Amino acid sequence: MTIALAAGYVWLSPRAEKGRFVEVSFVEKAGDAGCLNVHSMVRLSDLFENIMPWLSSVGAAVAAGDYNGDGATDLYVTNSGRGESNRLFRNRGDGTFEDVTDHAGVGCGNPEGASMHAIWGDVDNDGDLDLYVVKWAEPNTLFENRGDGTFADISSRAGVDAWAYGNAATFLDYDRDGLLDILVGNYFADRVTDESTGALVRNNLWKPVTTRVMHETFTHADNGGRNILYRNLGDGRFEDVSEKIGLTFTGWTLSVGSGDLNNDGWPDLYLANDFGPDEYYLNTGATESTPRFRLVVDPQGHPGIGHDWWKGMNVDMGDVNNDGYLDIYVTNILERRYKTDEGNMLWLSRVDPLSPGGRGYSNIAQLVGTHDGGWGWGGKFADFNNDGLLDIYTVNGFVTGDASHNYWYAIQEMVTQTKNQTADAADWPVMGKRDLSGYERGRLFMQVESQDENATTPAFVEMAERAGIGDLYNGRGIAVGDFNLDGWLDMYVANQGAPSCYYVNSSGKPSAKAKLHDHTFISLDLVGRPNQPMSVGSRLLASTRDAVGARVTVITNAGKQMREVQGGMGFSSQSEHAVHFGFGKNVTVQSLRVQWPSGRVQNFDAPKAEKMRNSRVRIVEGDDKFTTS
Amino acid sequence: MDKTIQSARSPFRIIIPSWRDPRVMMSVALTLWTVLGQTTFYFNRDLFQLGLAVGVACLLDMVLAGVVMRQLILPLSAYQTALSIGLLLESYDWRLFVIAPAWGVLSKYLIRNSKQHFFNPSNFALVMALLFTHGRATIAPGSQWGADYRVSVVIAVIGLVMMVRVKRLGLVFAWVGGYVFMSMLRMAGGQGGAVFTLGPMTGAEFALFTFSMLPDPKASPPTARGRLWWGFSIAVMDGVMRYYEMRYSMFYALFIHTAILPIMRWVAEKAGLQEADPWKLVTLSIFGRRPVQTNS
Repeated sequence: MTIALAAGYVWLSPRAEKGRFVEVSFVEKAGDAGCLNVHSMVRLSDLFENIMPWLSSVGAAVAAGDYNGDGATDLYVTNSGRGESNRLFRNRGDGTFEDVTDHAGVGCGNPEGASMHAIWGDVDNDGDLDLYVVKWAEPNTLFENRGDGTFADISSRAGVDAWAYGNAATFLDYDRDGLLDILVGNYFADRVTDESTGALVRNNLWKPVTTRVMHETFTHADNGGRNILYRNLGDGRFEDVSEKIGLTFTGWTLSVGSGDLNNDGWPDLYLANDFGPDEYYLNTGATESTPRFRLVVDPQGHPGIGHDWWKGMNVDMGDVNNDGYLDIYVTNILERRYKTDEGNMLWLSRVDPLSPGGRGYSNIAQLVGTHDGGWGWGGKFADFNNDGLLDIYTVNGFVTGDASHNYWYAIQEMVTQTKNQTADAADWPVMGKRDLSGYERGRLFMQVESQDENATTPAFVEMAERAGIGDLYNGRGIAVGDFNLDGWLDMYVANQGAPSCYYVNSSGKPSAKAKLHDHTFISLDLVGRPNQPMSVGSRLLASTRDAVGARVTVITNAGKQMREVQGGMGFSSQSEHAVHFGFGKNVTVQSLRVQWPSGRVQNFDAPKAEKMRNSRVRIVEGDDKFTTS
Repeated sequence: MDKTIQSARSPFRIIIPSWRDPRVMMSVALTLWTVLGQTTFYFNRDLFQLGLAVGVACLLDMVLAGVVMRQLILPLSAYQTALSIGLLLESYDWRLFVIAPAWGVLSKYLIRNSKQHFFNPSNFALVMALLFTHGRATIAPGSQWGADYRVSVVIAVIGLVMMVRVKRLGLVFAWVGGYVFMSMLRMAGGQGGAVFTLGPMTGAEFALFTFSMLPDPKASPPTARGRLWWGFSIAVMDGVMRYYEMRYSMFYALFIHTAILPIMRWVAEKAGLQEADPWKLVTLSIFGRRPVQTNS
């Protein structure tokens, strides 16, 4: 028996990570670059004191967008404490920043609730990015960009000032009418039953009428917030069409993502939900005159994309294997000794005629080594080393406390309960100073060329520490962008109750010095023309000004790459709108194709595409000329 | 009583279990639990891992029975072991579902006392997996199984009926009663409220342990009163470990208790006693009267 036990022990022994490491490095410069923010945490009513660290564990978000149109991506960072202002960092054009919050008038200040997330998008198609701030227990705020560096609060007039518990939002144009719509993901329910009167009242966690505000189970909870899809009416107003288009589930949504998952031209949805199954919705626009969303369910009637673990924290979409279809990265929880069956999920899109939309998904995370992300939060696809392969950076860590006294036992005992027994926060054991998956380091999963020519899945190697990412903060939101305009993607990480990190990519030469035999790039800013719709069948389809949903495919002598313009994706995250392509050594660009949401397609041949190399390129819909900088 | 067929030309005896064999009912119950869980109650277990565990355990049990005992068996025990492991064990690593069932089945053949095993194979496998797989194994918490209280009620009723059939009702009551008693003490000690301490009883982890692992005839005392003390003692140990926030405590408590069984047998043998005698002596020393006649 001893031999059998020893054999098993040895077989499962962790192996030193082998493999080919790639060249990638980052330098943390938040302080030097003037974009340091120490996130202030939310604090709720004292009635929740026993689990306050848990309930105040979210709110650090970052959104990247070029709000002033100077070609350099700016940053908007949230703070969640009472009276604490969010911050707008204007990029000076060289990757250093200045705080222009007061001048811009976008601080919010959390007078009653707490800021949780923010996204940039041009809702009025006037050529500059507006800002939508998602909050807990306070009306969400839509700031209209006046174009002079200042903003005006138009939330109430626009009708997007929901009072709820939002943790997620994305801009999308689900009906392709050339107007940006807004999808908001809410966490807690906005209404609860007042046990003293039996009436349904506002769920105010600062002035609670009850402590029965928690999820009813850890796996099948549908007592969370109602998600909202605001349809842009084009006259400065929005309409709540959630029920009309099929969004009725009241789960605990933490992240929302939109992208054309089945390549039918219409944006689909993936909602990452805590304490319940994720939701995967296909847009019916290709087959129905009025687009709506159809929830994809498995043969047993359960929503989701596959074998789910019910703690979805983040969703991001990207074509990780360069097959022309978007894949999905969902973060989750993995903690040795306490929770080992879960982990982050990398859903690889594959042909499946039996699945709705003709695409099925396989979770290849464990197979390719991207599953162990700790207690995961934000996670983003990006090509950090300009080799043409999408990498993944994901942050983690829940509550940092006394490392010698953790809360895992308590939480596991609460998980082992039947329905409704976990709903009352007062029943939860005291968390105090206990640690719950704190002190975790972010994971940088760099994709490497597979050594097997016949390999059908990508290969990754984890390189955070080697790349210089060493912080142990509880990371939440990630914004990826080329902030210093050197051709290499940088990262800004919003950490919960801790200083933010600005990781400047120092992997290679600045673009001006790069040659063909180096790793090179093309970065594209797409500008749609909403006033030039295309007639497709009986419909008029148009692109939004910021081209959300537009798709770019680059063909090279090494294969193809595809990127889609996102309207904000990832937990508490928004990366820059520009799409970024990296090219490995001696890769030549043969063509570049832009598919606009209007249905218009523009092709750029090899000579034109090659002129884009090592440049930030601006392409306007329908205009075959482009500008570079 | 199992039916044994011995062919003159075959070196193997074929063992066919009787329908009255408690293992048959337990196997049916676990199968039903698994099938319903996967199809109706959204248990969300990985079918590949479940299948792997069943395949490894059954195959290994049949091979070992053939080699060691020259028997051709229907591997009901291994099947139960595998299902328990497949339902309870969780890991992202498929190798756990080869190793753990193998360890469980091997323990039946390699760790024996008085010509019989004394560890419950599922319990042995789970504890070894928790201890010796570099933190890759954990046990699935109860609400993974649907979190529906009606399921818990049905499981409890079916479980109690089975306990009557296998004559382990007293053991189960002693364990559950002891658990409640220790929960009260933990509450009094300030560890938490009723939901926190008693709530886990409604989960499937508790149910599987109580109705599948604990009542193993080979891993529990031979007398009825002995089993009462046995169940209560496990509950006390479990409660103490829970007070000190040791997760998976009931599995460890059972493991430690069963590990003591051969020591008790050895002591009894050295003292010239029958196996049941130590349990009678425990009763006698505490109550000062003759123990009741047991049915074992």
